[in-house]
Amino acid sequence: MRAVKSKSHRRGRIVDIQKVSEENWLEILSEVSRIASLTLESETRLNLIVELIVKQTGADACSILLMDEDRKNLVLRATKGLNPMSINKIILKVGEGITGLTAKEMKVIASRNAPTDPRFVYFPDSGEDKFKSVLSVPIIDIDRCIGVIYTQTLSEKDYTENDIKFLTTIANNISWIIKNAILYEKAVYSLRELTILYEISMAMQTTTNLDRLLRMILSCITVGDVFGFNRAALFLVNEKANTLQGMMGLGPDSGEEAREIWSMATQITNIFQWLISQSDMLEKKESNFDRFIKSIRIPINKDSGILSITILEKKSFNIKNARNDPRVNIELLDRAGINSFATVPIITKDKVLGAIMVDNIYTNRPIKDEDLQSLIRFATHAGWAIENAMLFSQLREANKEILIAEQQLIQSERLTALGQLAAELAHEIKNPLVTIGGFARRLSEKSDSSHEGKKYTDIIISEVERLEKLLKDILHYSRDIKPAFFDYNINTLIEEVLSSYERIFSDSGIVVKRELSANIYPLHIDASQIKQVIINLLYNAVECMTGKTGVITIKTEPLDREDEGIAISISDTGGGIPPEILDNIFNPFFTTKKQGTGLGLSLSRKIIESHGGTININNRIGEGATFIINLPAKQDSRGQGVKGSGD
Amino acid sequence: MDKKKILVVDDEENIRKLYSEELQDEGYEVITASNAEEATIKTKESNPDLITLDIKMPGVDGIEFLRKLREHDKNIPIVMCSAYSDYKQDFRVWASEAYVIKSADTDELKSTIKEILKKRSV
Repeated sequence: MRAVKSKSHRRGRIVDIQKVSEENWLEILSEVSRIASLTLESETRLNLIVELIVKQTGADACSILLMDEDRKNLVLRATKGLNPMSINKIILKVGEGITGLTAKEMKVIASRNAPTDPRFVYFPDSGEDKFKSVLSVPIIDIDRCIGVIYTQTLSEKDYTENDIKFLTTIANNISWIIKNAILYEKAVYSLRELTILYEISMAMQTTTNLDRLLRMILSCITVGDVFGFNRAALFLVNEKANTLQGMMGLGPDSGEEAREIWSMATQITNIFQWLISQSDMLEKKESNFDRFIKSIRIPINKDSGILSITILEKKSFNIKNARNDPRVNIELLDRAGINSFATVPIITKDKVLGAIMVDNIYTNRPIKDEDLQSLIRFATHAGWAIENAMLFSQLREANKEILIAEQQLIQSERLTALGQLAAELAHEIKNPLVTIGGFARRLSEKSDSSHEGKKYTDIIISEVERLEKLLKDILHYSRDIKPAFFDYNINTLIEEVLSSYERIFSDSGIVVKRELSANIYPLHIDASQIKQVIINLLYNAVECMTGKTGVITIKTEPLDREDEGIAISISDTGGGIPPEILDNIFNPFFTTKKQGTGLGLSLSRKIIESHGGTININNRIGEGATFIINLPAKQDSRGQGVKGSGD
Repeated sequence: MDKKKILVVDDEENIRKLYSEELQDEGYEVITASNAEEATIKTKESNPDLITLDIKMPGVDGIEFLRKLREHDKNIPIVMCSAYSDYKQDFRVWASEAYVIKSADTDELKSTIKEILKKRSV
């Protein structure tokens, strides 16, 4: 009975399969169509298919492996019967194992006892050790294999032609579903990439600060679902020097740090917000990689390595084995510690702004050509943003210059107005003064020397003389100062001044430090005027340090310019100039001293300007102030000063 | 030898007075004018040997007067007298003989006039 039953059961099964091929095909096909219409998502589709096959064939397990992008490996994508944790983890090379061979040769392989089959490759975590027989069928799309579908049974099984035909037919029928699912997955991926690119573009538009922007760009490349490169570096072309300059490098310095960052990165939900927050972390700790990148200057020519070639040829490079690539700059390669990397040019319109370099130093994940394609698209967006930021900074620079010029104009207008006022005032005062003094003189001459009145008239005469001199000084200031120029060694001049004021310094308890450069050219200056300036500045320094023991440092050094000019700086330790008066200190008649005309600094500035030079302050509140005079070796036609007018 | 005649042109009465007395003490005959119009008339009438000329005056100023005068009289020496030296650089005053800055001390003015007249008489 038992034997018969068993026999009849077996016969019945064969009949079943034949039945399937004749009667239930419609049901299976409708089932496949249902799966196709149910979802576009490949994971769900594949799971439904393996379940359908297990149900229809009575196998104990059914799994689907799909080819990866490079068509080199098969990856387990769905299973019914094997450990579901193995999904995406089991990876077989094409040609490796029974399924690998199925894919390579595009033919069905049936094995009654797979574990004893020499072709069998065993994955311990999959739980497949309990299975005996394997039937492996390629999934073919037109003329190429896109995956493998295979069933396994616990008991040993001799696969019949019908079994094979059944699975092959199903494989042929589901190939289009799988293909569609893969295409859909790609489309979703592209859409996601586009969405992210859009968000990145939006984020990049929130800043015109080049540093912030570069950080944002590199953040995108290193963290994020689209690129996820381990490290990224950005280089910009310096047109003047014809070099490629390392601007910024972003990436962890160790594998440990990398894991920390990536675990954080998975929590990013809004890339737009995240990028903006990243760029705010400008003052973030420096990485060794960033320092290394910033130290790089590469001449742009065809022998300077891949980065340079990226710029010259406006092409991207995916270098897989750098050490054996003659185009690679080995020195840089060693310092970067990598063997594979990719470079992408940053192009706007027809100009190459720079290049981006990426690597996967920690994960060793090969850089795929699609990754590179995404990066190229991204580089275009980055290029526009960088160009904008650069234009903006140029604009800001120009604007700053205009502001400075405007301030100078205001200053000179103020002086002109003041000069006119002084001139008018002087004119009004001068005439009566001439009359008073003139008649006093006549009175003095005509009177007897013994006459009592002569004493008084002489007082009038001398007082008028004093007033006349004062008027002359004011008019001298409001008028053009025409210096008498001779070649002069500024160090000698400074020593002369210092020696005549030595007593004042020692009495005030002030130490004078000299840092006079021996490497300076003679200056073509009016020595007495420049002397006056130095005296004024020293006097100011002494004044602001009264009551404290202070240090005055007087320094000369050649200017790093073509005109062989010199910088003279006089620093004090008097606590700096209060910011509220800083703007006024060069204004005529402005003074904080009880005794002072307020002409010292304004006159000093006028003298320096009439020499074609500049005078500036480096004010360090709480410490002291440094007055810096830049003088050209030969003054040009600038700095003619301000003319007063009147009679 | 006749007394040299000097025309003092200045809008300030006390300056005219001071210059007149100082120059008379030097032995010159002095006539005065308080503006350019008066000076034009007096120049024609009295034919002075030298004119001291203030620059800043109401109406026609000293420089304009100098220009007009030079149109028909190239010879008469003019000494510009100004409160300060700014007009020295004005090329229009180059048509004058000298430029003296006004001062209570009139020595410079007197020596300048003396020098010019001495040259002229040679």
